[in-house]
Amino acid sequence: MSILWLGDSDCHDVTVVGGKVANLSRLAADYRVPPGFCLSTDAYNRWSHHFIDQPDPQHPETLIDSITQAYTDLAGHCEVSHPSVAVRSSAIDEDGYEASFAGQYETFLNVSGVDSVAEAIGKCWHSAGSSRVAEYRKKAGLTESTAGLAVLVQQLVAADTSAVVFSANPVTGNRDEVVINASWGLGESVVGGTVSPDTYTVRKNDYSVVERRISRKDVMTVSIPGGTQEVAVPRFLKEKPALSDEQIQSMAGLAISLETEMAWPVDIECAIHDGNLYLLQCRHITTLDQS
Amino acid sequence: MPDQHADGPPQPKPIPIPADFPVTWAQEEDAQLGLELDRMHFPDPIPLLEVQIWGSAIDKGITQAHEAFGIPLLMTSRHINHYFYNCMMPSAPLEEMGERMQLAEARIDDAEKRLEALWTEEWLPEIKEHLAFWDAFDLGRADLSQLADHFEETLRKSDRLWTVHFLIVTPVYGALNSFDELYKDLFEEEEDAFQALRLLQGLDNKSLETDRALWSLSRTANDSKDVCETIQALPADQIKEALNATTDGQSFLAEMDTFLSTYGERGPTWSIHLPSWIEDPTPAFMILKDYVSQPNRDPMAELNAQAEARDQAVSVVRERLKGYPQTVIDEFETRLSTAQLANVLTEDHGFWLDFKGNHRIRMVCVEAGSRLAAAGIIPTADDVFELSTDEVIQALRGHETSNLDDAVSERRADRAHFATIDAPARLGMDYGPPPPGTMTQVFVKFFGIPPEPDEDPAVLNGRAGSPGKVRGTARVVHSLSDADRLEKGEILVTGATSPPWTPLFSVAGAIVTDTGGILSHCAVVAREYSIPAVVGVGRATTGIKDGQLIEVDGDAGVVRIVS
Repeated sequence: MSILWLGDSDCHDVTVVGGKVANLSRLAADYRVPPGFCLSTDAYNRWSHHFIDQPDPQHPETLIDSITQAYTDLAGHCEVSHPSVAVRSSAIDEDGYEASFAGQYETFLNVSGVDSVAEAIGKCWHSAGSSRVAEYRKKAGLTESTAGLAVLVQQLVAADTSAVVFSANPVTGNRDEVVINASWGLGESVVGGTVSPDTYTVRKNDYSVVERRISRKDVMTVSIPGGTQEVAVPRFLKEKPALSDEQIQSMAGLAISLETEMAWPVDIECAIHDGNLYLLQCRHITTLDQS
Repeated sequence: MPDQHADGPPQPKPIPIPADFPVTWAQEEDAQLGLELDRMHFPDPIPLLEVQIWGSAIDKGITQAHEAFGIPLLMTSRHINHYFYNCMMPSAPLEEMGERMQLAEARIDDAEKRLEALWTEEWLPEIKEHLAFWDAFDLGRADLSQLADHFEETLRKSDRLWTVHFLIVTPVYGALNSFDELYKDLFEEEEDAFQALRLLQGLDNKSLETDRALWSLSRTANDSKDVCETIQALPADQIKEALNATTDGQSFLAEMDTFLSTYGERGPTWSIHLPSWIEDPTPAFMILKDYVSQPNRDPMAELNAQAEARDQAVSVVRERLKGYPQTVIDEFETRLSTAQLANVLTEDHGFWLDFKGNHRIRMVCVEAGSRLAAAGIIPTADDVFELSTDEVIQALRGHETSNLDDAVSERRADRAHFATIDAPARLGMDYGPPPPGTMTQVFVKFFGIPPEPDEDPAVLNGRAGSPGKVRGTARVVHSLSDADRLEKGEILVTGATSPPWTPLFSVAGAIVTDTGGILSHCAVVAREYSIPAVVGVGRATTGIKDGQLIEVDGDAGVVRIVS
């Protein structure tokens, strides 16, 4: 199977969709995960040679058919004709935890329409074969043969606020605390470190907010036609807390519940849109074991 | 206003007093005030009664409205050589000003967001209640003592009315500024100063409504050749009498009266010593002279086109904001609808309060004047404006029976003398520029700030008021009654405009003013009429000669004298 859906059991397999997608897929039934489909390693093996050396504008017809079908189904799930999606790559290695690859692969946000989605997928595959990633993999001691790539196409949450939440304090190693980094707009500015996000530290046993550092949030990532753009945060919003108390509680609750479910400390990405909290990513906290 | 910059206030400097403008301070400490001449509202010398009514209304009005919002600034005014000078002073210790100002801004912001409810449920009903108070009083039938009581009550009402005025304008101009600033924040790369304000255009207001009514009156006039010719041929102040002599003319005057009963409660400026259009319709005839000779136009269609352009501009912005956080979208929508209402209220508060209120206050004064003239205390009813409020009350109560003719003519002559003198913009002490902040920002956008003079003497720098560039003949006009010289397409050059000037905006090709910023009456209305305006030039009426060919660049805020 080349195309697998988040939530379906065959999409839980790290060896064909990668750890990131497999985690999300397993959680999709019980958590609010935006709908999406994944082009598995099968798809990568079958079609990516068209894109490894250079981005190929001519997609093989069978690939186009598959993508068209999947995107149409996704449109049905989202109840809009041309859902805006995020196209992200997910690297596959034997353990499935690909956190060390964070930022090494392409992400395309606010893509809509079959042609644009297909183009973004092609670019993900091309980038996986690009020298930049090969170099990185070599340095990380990973061999070419273990490499595989899955691409997730998922409805884009038009985030009012985005956050990265740690179910243990990644700085002090304190496992009794949840740490939330939150800022306005899509998550890219928080994840990419271009904004100093607010930091909320929550004590796990009673959900009390033990520290609240509201920072001056100068930029945010917003959707613009055909993509995203980092823009200035308007003055009225710069120094306002990105999260209400209620939102802090629900994010902390989500991280605690995921930690229990996964049985390891988690690092999650989530977003709030229209009052709902969406889970966008759930990973192992990689730095914690050393501390 | 004394400076409160963090690095300590600069040393205040005494402002030199010009030789032709001798100043005798009523109290020694007045020399310490940082007095400014409000050339936008009171460019000319004004008589004693008026200045006392204004002085009280403005000092109390601003001070009380500021107290209501917690703004730590109070207003005090001085009447110097018949000119009306104001001074805004801190009402809190300097070290507390910053914090107090922040609290006040939050309260003003709250009022901005409740603007519609405040206007429809509180302020407009209260204004109408005050107007009804005056309407219910039969001036002609009152005896002297009743009239004296009524006069005193009128002074109290006037103070309250102007408190309401500043309760209104503070959040109204605040809302326009908030929206303008939010827009600049969101789309900072854009240089066009008018972009945000375009989203507020094409909304009907009482000034545009008045103009349309006057326009439709001009079409009625054109229905009769006789009426049309009379209006075109005679000087504005002789038209009424001439029309009264013909049947067509009489029926036109009946229509005119209907117009005046709704829209005629307005003087040429804010001055209450000058007659309203109801008393003397010359200014209306002056505008009609222009209108009757203009080809057909459709003011309603013009407004609709403005509205369409606005809706278009709004939907472009909405599209751009689609991918922004909802908080930003919500903020934009709230600020937009509030600013749209505020834009309407910049004109409508004037219609209801400034002009209808002033007209009634004036009528009380005029009635008192005619009684005092009948009693032989002053020469004519109009001379009442040369008296003090105390003199009027004492005379009405019969406590003052001596003839005041000499005092009246002396004051009149002195005022006439100072009308020929260029009054200094500032007197007393120079405390440097006001501290930065939202209030200052709003003041600057409304009153303007003096521009840097250009090296080229043929170039006059001002502020961008309304976009566009045109060339035309300058008509330097000092008062509304002087404006009948303005021909279609010529450039109106004046000190400032007020709502009664609005109909001239469809005659002028562009407008240049001495005072004002991008939110001044002139700038707001010029944008509605899609004509260029340069405001706050400072020396437009002195630097530009009547009849010169000038080029007005409303985007750059620059006027060039061509020849």
